[in-house]
Amino acid sequence: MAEPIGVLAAYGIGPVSVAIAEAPLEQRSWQHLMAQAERHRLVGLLAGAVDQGALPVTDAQRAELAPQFEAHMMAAIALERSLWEVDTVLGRAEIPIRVLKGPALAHTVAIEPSHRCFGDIDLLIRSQDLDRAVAALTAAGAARPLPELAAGYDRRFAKSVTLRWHTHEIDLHRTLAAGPYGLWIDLASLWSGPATFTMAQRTFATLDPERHLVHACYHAVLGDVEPRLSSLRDIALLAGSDQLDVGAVRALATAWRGEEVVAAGLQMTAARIGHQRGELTDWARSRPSGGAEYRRLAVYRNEHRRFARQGVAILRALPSWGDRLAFARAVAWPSAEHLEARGLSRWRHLVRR
Amino acid sequence: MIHRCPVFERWLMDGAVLIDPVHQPGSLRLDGSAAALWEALPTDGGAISRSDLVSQLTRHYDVSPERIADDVAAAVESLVQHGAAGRRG
Repeated sequence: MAEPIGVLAAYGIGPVSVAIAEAPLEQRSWQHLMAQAERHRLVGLLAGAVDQGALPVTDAQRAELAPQFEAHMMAAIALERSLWEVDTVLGRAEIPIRVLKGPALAHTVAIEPSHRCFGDIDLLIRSQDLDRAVAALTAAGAARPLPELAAGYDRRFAKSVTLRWHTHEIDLHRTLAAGPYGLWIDLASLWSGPATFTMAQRTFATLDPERHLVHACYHAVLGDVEPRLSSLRDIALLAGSDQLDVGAVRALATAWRGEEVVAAGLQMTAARIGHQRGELTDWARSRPSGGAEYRRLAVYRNEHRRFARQGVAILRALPSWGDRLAFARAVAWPSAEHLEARGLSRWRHLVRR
Repeated sequence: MIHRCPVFERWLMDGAVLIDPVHQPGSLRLDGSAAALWEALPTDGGAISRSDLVSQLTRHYDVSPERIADDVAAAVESLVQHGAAGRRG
C-alpha cells in the first residue's frame, strides 16, 4: 500500500481524485505525515486535502495542522509582497525579469495557490543585466551576504546571486542549473514565449509551460540529491497539462543537452507521483542512455565532493581556454571580500580544496 | 462603493482568509462574516455598492438584511482601517 505522503503528493492530479484515507490516521501516523509534509513542502496541499474531505481528521489533528498551515500561508504572502517590491525596483531600472518556481507555479499550475508552499523568491535575469540588478537592489536596501567570487564571475559563470531582502532570500538566476548543464542552456532561448500571471493586480512574466517543465526537471534532478515531493508534483502538474507542447519540451531538452535530466525527472516523478501524459513518460523510458550520461549525472547525484567534481565538469564544459583560465583563477584565488565573508584565510581556502 | 485594493491573499481552512494589502504594513486575518464579505467583493478592479453587497450576502445567510447591513458596515470599517478595502464614490 502506498505511503500517505506519496498519495498526498499526487492529490488532485489526474482524472480521479483519490482519498488519502477513509478514516482519521492514528496519532503516530498523523505525526509522521505532518513531519513528512513539512519536509516536502506539502503542508498547503495537506490542508487543502483536509478541507476538501479527502483526509478525515480528528478535531485535535485539525487544531494541530491549522497554525502550521497558516504560518506557511503568511510566509507565502510576505514573500509575494517582497517579489512585488523587487519587481518595482527592477522595473524602475528597466531590467526585465522572469519569475521562476514558487510563486509562479502557485499562480499558474497549482490547483489552488495555497497548495504550493515556497521559501524564497527566484528570478531569471539576463547575464548582461545581472550586475545592474544587484546594484539596483542593494541601493534599495538589499544585502548581499557573499560578495562576488571575483570581478566578472557572476555574469560569466554563476548560476545565481543570492540577496537578502527584508528577511527573505532573493535568488537572481542567470541560468537554471549549476555546473555543465547550466552552461549548456541557450540563455537567449529562456526569454522566448513568456507566460504571465497576475498577483495583487500586477502582471508578472514567467516561463512558458514547456520551459517551466524542463526547469522543474533540472531542479529535481540536479538540485538536492533527494528531491522534495513538491518538486516532483510540479513536474507531474506541468507534464499533465493539456496545453503542453510535448515536441517543444523534447526540442528544448535536446538543444540544451539535457535530455537525460528531463528523462530522469519524468521517471522519478512517474515512480513517486504517477499521473503523467503517456507520450512523455514513454519517451523518457524508451530513450537510449549510456555511460557518458550516467557519469554526467553522477556529478550531481552524489554528495561526496560534489562542488569539486562540478568544478572539474565546468572546466571541461567551458567553450574556450580563456574561459577556463578565468574560471580556474576565480575559484583558486577568490577576492579578499569573498574570503572574509566566508571566514576563510587564503591559505585555508587553498588547503581545503 | 466598495472595492478591493491590490492585495496578497491566501484562503485558509474553514473559510478564513489572510490578506496583506499593498502599501499597508502588516497582514490581516478575516474569519466568518468578514471573510464572506471579502469573498463577495469584486477582484477584477470593479466596485460594488453597499446595498448590492448586503443583498448578495443575504442570499447566503439566514439572518435579516438589517443585521447583515450592520455586519457589513462594521466589517468595511475594519477593512478600510487596515487598508484592505478602498471606497469609491
